[in-house]
Amino acid sequence: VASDQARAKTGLVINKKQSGNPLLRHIRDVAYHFSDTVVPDFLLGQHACAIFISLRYHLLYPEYIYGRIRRVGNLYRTRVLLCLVDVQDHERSLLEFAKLSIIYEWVLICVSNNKEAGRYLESYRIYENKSADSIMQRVDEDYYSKLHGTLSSVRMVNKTDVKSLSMNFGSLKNIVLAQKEELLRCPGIGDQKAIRLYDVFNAPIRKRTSS
Amino acid sequence: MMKRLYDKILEEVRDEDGLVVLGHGLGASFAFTNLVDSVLKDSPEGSIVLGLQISPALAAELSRHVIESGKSSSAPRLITSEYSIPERREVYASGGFLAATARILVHDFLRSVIPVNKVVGIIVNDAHRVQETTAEAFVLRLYRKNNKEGFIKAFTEEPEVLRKGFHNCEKIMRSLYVRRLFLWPRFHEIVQDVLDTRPADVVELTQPMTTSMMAIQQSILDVTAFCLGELKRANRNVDLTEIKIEEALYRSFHDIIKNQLEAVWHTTGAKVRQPLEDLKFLRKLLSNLHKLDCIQFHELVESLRQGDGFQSTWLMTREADIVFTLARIRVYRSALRSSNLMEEYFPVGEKENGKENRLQDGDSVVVSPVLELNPKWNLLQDVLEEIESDGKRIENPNPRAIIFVRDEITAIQISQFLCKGGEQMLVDDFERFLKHRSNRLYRNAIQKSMTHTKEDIGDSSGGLQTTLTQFSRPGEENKRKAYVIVRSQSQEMEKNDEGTVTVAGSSGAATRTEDTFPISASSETAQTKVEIVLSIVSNIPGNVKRLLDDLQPSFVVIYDPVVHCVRQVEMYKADHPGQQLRVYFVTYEESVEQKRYLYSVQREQEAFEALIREKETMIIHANQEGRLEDEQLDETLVGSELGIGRSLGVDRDSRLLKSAKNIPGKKIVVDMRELRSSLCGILHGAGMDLVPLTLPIGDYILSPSICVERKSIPDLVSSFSSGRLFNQVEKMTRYYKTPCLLLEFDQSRPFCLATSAELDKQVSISSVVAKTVILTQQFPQLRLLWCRTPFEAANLLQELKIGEEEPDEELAATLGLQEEDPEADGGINHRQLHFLRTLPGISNRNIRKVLESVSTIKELVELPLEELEKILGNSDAKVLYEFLSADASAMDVHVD
Repeated sequence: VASDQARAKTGLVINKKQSGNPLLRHIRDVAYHFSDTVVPDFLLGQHACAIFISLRYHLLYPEYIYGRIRRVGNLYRTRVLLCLVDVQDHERSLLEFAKLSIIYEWVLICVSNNKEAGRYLESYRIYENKSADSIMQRVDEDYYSKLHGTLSSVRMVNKTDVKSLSMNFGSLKNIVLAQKEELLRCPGIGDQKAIRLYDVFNAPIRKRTSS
Repeated sequence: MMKRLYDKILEEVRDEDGLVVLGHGLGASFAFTNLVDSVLKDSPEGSIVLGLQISPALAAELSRHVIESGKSSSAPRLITSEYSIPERREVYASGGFLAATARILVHDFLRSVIPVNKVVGIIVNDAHRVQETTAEAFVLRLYRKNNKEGFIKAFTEEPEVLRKGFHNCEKIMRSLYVRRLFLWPRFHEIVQDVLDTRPADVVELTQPMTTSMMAIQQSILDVTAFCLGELKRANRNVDLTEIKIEEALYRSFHDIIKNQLEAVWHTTGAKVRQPLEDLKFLRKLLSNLHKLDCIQFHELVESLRQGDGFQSTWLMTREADIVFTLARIRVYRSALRSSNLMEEYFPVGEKENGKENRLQDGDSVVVSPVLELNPKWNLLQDVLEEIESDGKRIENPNPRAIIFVRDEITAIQISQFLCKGGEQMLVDDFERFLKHRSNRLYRNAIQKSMTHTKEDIGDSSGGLQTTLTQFSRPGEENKRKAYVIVRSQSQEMEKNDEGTVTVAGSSGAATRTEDTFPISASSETAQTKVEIVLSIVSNIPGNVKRLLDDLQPSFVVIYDPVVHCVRQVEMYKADHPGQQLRVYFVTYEESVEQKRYLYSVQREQEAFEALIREKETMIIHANQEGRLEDEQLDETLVGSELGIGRSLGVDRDSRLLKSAKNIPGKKIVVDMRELRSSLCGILHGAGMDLVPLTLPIGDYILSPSICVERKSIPDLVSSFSSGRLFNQVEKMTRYYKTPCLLLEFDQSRPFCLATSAELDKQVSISSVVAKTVILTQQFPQLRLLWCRTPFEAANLLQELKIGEEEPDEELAATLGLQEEDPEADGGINHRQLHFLRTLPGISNRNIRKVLESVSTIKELVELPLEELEKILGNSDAKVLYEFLSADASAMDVHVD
């Protein structure tokens, strides 16, 4: 087991039983090794592991998943239950998994295809020691995606509108300071959008105090 | 006369609850104000009639109507979220006709703020929008549960929507708790009798389009056909055999295709979605071809080319090229003049390279303006002249004419046209356009060569100026007639400065003159007799008719064909049978505009015919009105053991979900802001007791240990990038043992956080998958819950409650309150706050300070850097300041 932990530092450690799993084809950005000693299906890092289950398989062998979960116990801090939703009628099984994930303290991840499943495994490996900075506040993006993010937070404003607004006004400041008529002159900005934008910029942020 | 019609309508619906469907523009809202009047008269003092889905604009319109007609009782009083709970109690105590949003009503019913017994009934406006899962349906259910006597009467003017989908009308009626359907189409005997006795004198005028407009329209139609072909090739499921190209011109086409693809929508890729998007844009292009002036249309077309690098295949077609070229040629022709006269020596091939060559030293682009006028303008001019000469003949010394246009942009256009004249208006606009363009030419030139100096550009644009002034033929505008132009604004545009549009009597029209607009170019010819009023046909019912009633015009010009405008003119005429009225109906010959109008009339008629047939075979549930007692209902329940067998058919009463008998705990504490969501309604329908409170943490508290935050996928994405989710999860983990994040997917999407395009690329930190991974690693105790529909979510939450203790609402409301959360105090406008959060430099740390320092976003933007620094701190202030004033127009490098 110790050697598995060591190997987990350089890449994914995959249980031998999973060697025929089609999702492995989609793991391209990280290295992986097979092992026949590792308990879970995937070792994602020093403290994280994953079990893979497809709903179709689960419907045939409903006991399987409980056995796997019990064997893993709480050896690892982050335990991921990677669930491939490959049947139409998934509600009941997912209900079961949700309960199970709460009782045994697993993180349930649902995916709809193998490609995405592979992507999750890769991401867990790559971002094992990543700090939470990227989700604590905005990461640096280029100016236009930021501008797009800002303006499209107003409902109904789309990419084309952002373009036409920025073309016509030159800067965000000008857009905010624009009159309703000026906004309307922008190709693609109709009555509704103009009202909405104008309202967002000019209506008070705080409501009237009810006192 | 109209009163007779409304009386007939009310006769039917007074004694029995029902859904009343009127033809477009027949004034459903006036029908129900009369109803409310008579109901309130018959009920004891302090009775309440609730109005659902009555927008502030409609409420204003109705109260205006009521004031003018001299009755004061039936105007709806609007309860907004600004009313506190004690204030609302007071309002409810005084009774009357009250309109509120569904969210407020849900809360007040759940917390018994509103005295249910005093509510004698509910009026539902725009009933076609009530679906099983909407908050409005939730309000009705809450009402029916506690009050078996009161009435529910629903009104709509959208028969087409009722026809959409599978048994939609039945489903809506079930959600409305009504069993009768009353249809009042335009072709109804009584309606015809009322409207057609003294019809107005209608002059239908058709205007041929210019050749280039015709060619553009034809090309767009050809491209539409091309896109349909693409669509068909891309997906076998699309069945276009019954769809003609014409159909693709209407919005309903989009729904048809979406319906056909619904089952497989989540598997469709860009190949299907792109042509659909293209069709949508082409539709927009077509309607704008008639609406915008040539410069604006050109800009619109160009905006497409500046898009994300030629994704749409149709841009490559020959027809697309025709559209682009003609749209430009309607505005200007350009030629290249080379100062070094070397042009002839260049081989042709090099010239073709276009932009690179175009901007050599000393070269200048010679632009000769064409500026094609919209043909309709001249027609309008002729019409107005005719009105003027006719006005002198009839007795009325000061005839009035109203021009009805579809939207604000046309209104601006027409008023400028009438003030300045078409040429001058286009010339002014063209100057603006060129200034913009030459700026960009200048910028590009700088990038290209340093020797290209400012003077050169100054020269070339100076040259343009002269051509322009020559073109504008000075002196022309002196001959132009002075019109009194009164712009009657649509309510919505005026929301903020309500004071300027006051209720005006018959003489008030002149005082309503819009101050933002130049009234007239020259005042010396003010002896003109015709007073022209320009008005926008807004979506507020009755708007057109009220204006007509106010101004009593002798002439009406319908500039854009809109069905409900036409109807209201008819109604006005019916009300004033003695009045002289001539209606000019102006359309483009052979145009899509004309076809669309005819189609919408036809579609409405077909919808009514279908509804008449459907009415005969409609299945009405034994307890459709929900007036029977609950014990009787339980017998009809066919709840499967887990409650998953929700039937999709209409044979079962799907308003009743499974009974919650087996579940001991029923209490769920819900955040106030969640009350609008369909999940709340479903949970309540499933028998849970909801306790609405303002929660500092989480959306749903199931037990002392389980707290759930619900996120739809777009929400998830935005709250990831703003860092809000991190804070929310952090707080949940601090105070609850089992924090859960409920991911609510769209029904049409698979459980897939990553897009297929994203999966083809490398792992990236900015993807949602990566962020989810980081979040779950950071908080291993966070549980993710996945569901596709609110029904699944409701089952899931109920299931999680099994074996858990009941939540403590007092504790839930106070947990984590000491934390800084600007939203917790509730007095914030969400739209503005949402926008604020997306600005760089503004984070959870400083947002409170921002809120304290400025009152609007505009104010924040206007602040100088030093002031910003005081609020945000140096680095954040700099980030924000730079972001605000950064040059955004440089984003395109495409120059013609």
